[in-house]
This record gives sequence, structure tokens and C-alpha cells, in this order.
Amino acid sequence: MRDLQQLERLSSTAALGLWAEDVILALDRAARLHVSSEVDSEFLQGAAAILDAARERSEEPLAISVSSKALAATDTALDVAESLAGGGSSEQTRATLEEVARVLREAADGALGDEPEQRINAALDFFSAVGRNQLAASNSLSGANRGSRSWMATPTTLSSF
Amino acid sequence: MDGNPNDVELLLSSARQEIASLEGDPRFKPFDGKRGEALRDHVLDLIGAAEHRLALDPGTGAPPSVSQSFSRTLRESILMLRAAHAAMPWLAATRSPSVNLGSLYATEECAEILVGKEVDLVVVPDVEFMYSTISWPFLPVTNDTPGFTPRTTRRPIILHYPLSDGDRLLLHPLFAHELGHAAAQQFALVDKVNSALAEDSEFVGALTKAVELMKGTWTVSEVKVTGTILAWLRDWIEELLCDQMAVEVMGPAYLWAFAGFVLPLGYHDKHPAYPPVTVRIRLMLDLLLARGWQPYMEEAAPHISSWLIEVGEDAEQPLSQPYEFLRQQILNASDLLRDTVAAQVGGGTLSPVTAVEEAREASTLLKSLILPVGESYPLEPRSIMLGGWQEAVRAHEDRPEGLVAALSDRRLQDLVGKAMEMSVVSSSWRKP
Repeated sequence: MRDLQQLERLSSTAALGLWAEDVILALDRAARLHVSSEVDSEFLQGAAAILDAARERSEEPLAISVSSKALAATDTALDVAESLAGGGSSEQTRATLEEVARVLREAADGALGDEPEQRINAALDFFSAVGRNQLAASNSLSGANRGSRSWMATPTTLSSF
Repeated sequence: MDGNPNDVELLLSSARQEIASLEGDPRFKPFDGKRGEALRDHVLDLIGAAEHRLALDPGTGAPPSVSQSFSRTLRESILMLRAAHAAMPWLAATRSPSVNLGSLYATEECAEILVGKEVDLVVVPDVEFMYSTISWPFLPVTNDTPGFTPRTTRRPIILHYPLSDGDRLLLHPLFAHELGHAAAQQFALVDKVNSALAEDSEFVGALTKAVELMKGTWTVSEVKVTGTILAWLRDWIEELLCDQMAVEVMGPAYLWAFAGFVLPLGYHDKHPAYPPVTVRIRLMLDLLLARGWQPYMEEAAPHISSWLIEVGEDAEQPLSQPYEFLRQQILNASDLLRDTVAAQVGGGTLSPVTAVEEAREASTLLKSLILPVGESYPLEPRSIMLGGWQEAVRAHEDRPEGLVAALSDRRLQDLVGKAMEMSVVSSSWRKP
């Protein structure tokens, strides 16, 4: 793989990881302060929308995603939700995504109140899993493991002949 | 455990050191001119995004999962800051460009047509024997940092070319394909094609069948099979859009350069990210035919033209699935691809109506080893390139071997490059 493609993939991979960590930090602020800033609120709503898109893809597998960014983000969200659902049914995967999205929306609206920690922790666990996966992927792209890739890890954007 | 105070202390120090290292690099000093300035600003944006995140320390009272998250944020940021050192040789290259000046001017003209005026073009030789490009290398990180606003608005585009090809001017129409990637990203061209395909019931029906077929082979979920096939299709579409943009702005010179560089790499091969070369050539020929280039191609290179038509006909050969699905859908969507590109390129198309006469003049002058700038007025640089190819094929024979031999003709390519440079300079003087 050429260096420029490697850098392109690293940026996209790291950005997705940072997105997950940004969600965790914003959710933590909302949980502790019982209110979200305008920036956090908008960001958490956006994150919830991505989880909705992932759930919709699970409901309609043949739906055509228009953007590659949406494809990558929803792919990752689905992988993590499936894994957290213990590789269980699609219904369990969708329920996980729906519940995490609900927590994010409540946080965005400053409506978490005195939520049971369990719900918030489940959402934090979800994004921690995304963040860990992405950090491992970033390292494999930038370090000694360059070039190793699974059959699914096809770059979505290539920029040479 | 990661995220504890010692871990965070180490990470914060490391991130700050990486920032200082970038800022202290002598190649990172501010520019006098515009070239390289946007790339430098883009790196500054990456540093700004990292600094923004460094300030989000949740503190010692945070739950362990949140502290760990902050430590991962820092680790991802450090990885990106280290990766940003890749930009230093690019910045150095903008201060002393090594690519032929005439070619650089012509490439800048193509960049303006395909991407727009707000472009910072950085052309850099690379040890890899490949042409490649990246623009906004750190954009996913800089633009998706909540609460941080990047300052760069001018698009930095880095073009890599093989070290050996700095003076192999006849291959430089390939730069237009690379610029196509920046245009495809800037104007979301693949998304436009995808939107149209999503509305096409025949396409959706074929996709359904392909997914059903591959579910049995790949043994993963339907969502993953669909996602993978569509991601591959996206890559094929982008490559073909870039080919079509390059043909629009460079005419047959792109096809001939492509044949000289890419045909030695593959023929009707299956690849997730690249359509077979046969399919690419087929679509290029269809576009050239539609634009009225056929008579000129048959005049300038009749044997090479008929050979390439045969190559294009091999695009009809079936492939194994899911590549067969991709091949068929791409051939079905050729009009859609062409229309998408035509709408994008607009008046920037190189038309045979004006370019053929200029190319003939350039070719005639080159035959006498005269700098082909133009006898009565400066010829358009892209016409000079075309004339360069015409004369190269005449001098080295109208056959595949001649196409390759032309690339070794340094004298001819030096004249082409110098003429393109003089043409741009002369035209600039003539402008009121």
C-alpha cells in the first residue's frame, strides 16, 4: 500500500476513534453537570443520528448509503453492537443501538437527571469499545504492523492508479 | 491501568513534545508566497485540534472509563501528530519544485478547471513507482473536532509522481486523473452517482441478487456483504470518474499516457478498489468518441487506436462474482458517469475543434526540433502536450512498442515541457 493511502486511512481511522472518545467525554460532562453545552448537545444529537443510521442499515441491509463516511461509521457501530449483544440476534443488536442513541439524546437535552448509572455505563462501554478498536486499527496503520488487514478492511477511498 | 495520572502525564508531555517538534522543524517556517501555504495551515489546524482536545482533561474525579477514554484521545492525537511529519518534505518541495515547470503550469490549469481556484498544489517526487494523491490529509480529524473551527479554506493537494518521471512529460497527463480525486471529494461526485443508482430499480435488483449470491460465499451478515460490495463499487466509480475527468481536460493524451503507464500493470484483473484496465479503457474510448476525437486519433495513431479498441472490447469478458456485478453495473452506468463528469468539467473540456489544429502545429514544429510554442500565437499547453504525443508516435512508430519508446525520448519531452512553460509565460504577458 502506498504511503498516501496509508495516511488517508490513518486519518479516517483515528477520526472515528476520536469521535467515540469525544462522545464519552461529552456524555460524562452531561451526566455530571446535568446539562449539555450547545456544542456538546449538537454533537451528541449527531452521534445518536449515526446510531440510528446503523440500526436502519440493520433493518434494511440492502439500503444504499450515499456517503463513505456514513458507511464506515455505521459499519463500526454495527460491529460493536453485535459484539456487545454477544453475537446474538439482529433484534438484540438493534435494541442495543436504540438504547445507546436514547441515552445520547437525553444527555443532549440535559434530561439525564438522576439516571441509573447502569444505562450511562452501557453507553460509555459501547463507545469505549469503538475507541479501543479504532486505536488498535490506527496503530496497525501507523506502526510496525502496516499493511496487515482483514478481508473486510477495504479502503473506501483510494487515490492512485 | 491506562488513564491513571502517570499515564495522562506521560501522554500530555508526549503530545506537547510532538507539537513542538512540528512547529520547530525548519521546513515548517512561514512562506513568502502562496504555494504550500494552505498545506502549512492545514498542519496548523491539526495541531490546533490536538491542543483543543488536550484541554478536555476530565480531571481526577472522572470515572475510570472516562479517564481511559481521555488517554485514548491523547494516544490517537499523538499518532496523528507524528503522522503529520509526512508533510515536512512536502513543504520543503514547495520551496524548490523539482517537477518540470511547464508541466507544473499545465497541471495548475487542470487543477483550476477540475477543483477550482482555491487550491494549493504540491507536486512531489516519491520513491514509490506510482502516481498518487491526497488532499486535506488530516481533514477527518480537523473537521470533526467538536468546538474547534479549522482556519484552512484553500484545499491543499499533494501529488506524488515516480522519481523517474520528473522529466517524462508525456506521462504527466496522469496528474489530471490524480486531480480528479480531489474534485470527486470536493464536489461529492461519487455520492451523486450513488444517489442516482439508488433510484434505479434495475441496479437495486442486481444488487439484491449479488448480495444473495455472496452471502453463501462470504458467510457474514447481509449488512456486511452489502456494505462491502457497495464500498468496492464506490472505489470503482471514483477511479472511473477520475479517468473521465482526465480525458475531458487532456483528450487522447491521457489515454495514451494511461496505456503507457497502467497497461503494463494489469489487463482484465479483479481488484476491490480498481476496475479492470479493459473497462477503464473502454469508458475512456467511449468518451473520446462522444467528444469527436476519433478522426484525430485515427490520423495521429491509427494502429495504437485500433489496438486500444480491442483492449476495450475485452471489457465484455465476464468476471467472477462480485466483480461481475460491479463490471456490469459500471458498463450500464457509463452514461451516468459521463454526464456527471461533463456537468463538473463544463467549459474546461479540451475540444478537438480547437486543440487538433494546435496539436498538429506543435507536432510539425517538434518534427523540426523547433520549440512548439506556436508561430503566430502561444499554443494552449494542453494542445502542446497532445502534439508532443502525436510527434512521439510518429517518430517512434505507431505501435505499442513505439508508445513505450516515446517515453524515453528526453529531447522531445524537454521541448514539450519548455514550450508549455513559454506558452504560459507568453500568454501571461499578453493579458492586459
